[in-house]
Amino acid sequence: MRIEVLLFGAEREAVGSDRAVVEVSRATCGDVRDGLGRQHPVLAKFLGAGRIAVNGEFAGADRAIGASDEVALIGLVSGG
Amino acid sequence: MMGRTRITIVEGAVPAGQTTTPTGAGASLVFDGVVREGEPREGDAGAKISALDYEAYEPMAQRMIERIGDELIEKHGLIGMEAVHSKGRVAVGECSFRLIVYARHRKEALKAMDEFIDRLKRDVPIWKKPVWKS
Repeated sequence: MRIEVLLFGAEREAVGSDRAVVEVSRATCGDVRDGLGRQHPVLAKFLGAGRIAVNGEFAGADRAIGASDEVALIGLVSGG
Repeated sequence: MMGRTRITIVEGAVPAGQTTTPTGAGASLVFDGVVREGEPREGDAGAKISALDYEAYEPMAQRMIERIGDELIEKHGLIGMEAVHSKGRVAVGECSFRLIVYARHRKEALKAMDEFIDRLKRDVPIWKKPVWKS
């Protein structure tokens, strides 16, 4: 399954794009996180602090991802 | 009674605004987050910036701010909250974030203000990037 992951801030700058594509055999948030690290090694250092969001909600590793879901990698935030 | 959080994300600095304190409020607490000139930079303790560039994952940021505000309204029995956050460039000295807490008494307003900002800095998908002075 091919999943597009939205990127922001430092992660977007590291990849040079506002999204990263991962190919995963199973589509859970945990699989996507692992896939990001393997298929986009430049993101590996961000994944420890990063959280996956699905449709604008933080999601746990077991959360299944469907074809129509919007997936984002939320790195360390710094608003305010 | 308001009973909900109102959130607005604006392009550039948060403008000075007039507020209308709701009936029943004995406290109208306003926090303005202002871009400061000094920012820590590796190897340069005295580094200065001219601005911050803000980026938001806007739908999620709005929803998270509403949720945090509504939870705190419930927890502290507040009358309401209003938040305004910038996206895009905000110059040194300008306001990038304003939070107004309306409550019957100051104590719950002060507590809620502090909790809100802690959670904003932990859970709301907004990022800032310094524009360094050359």
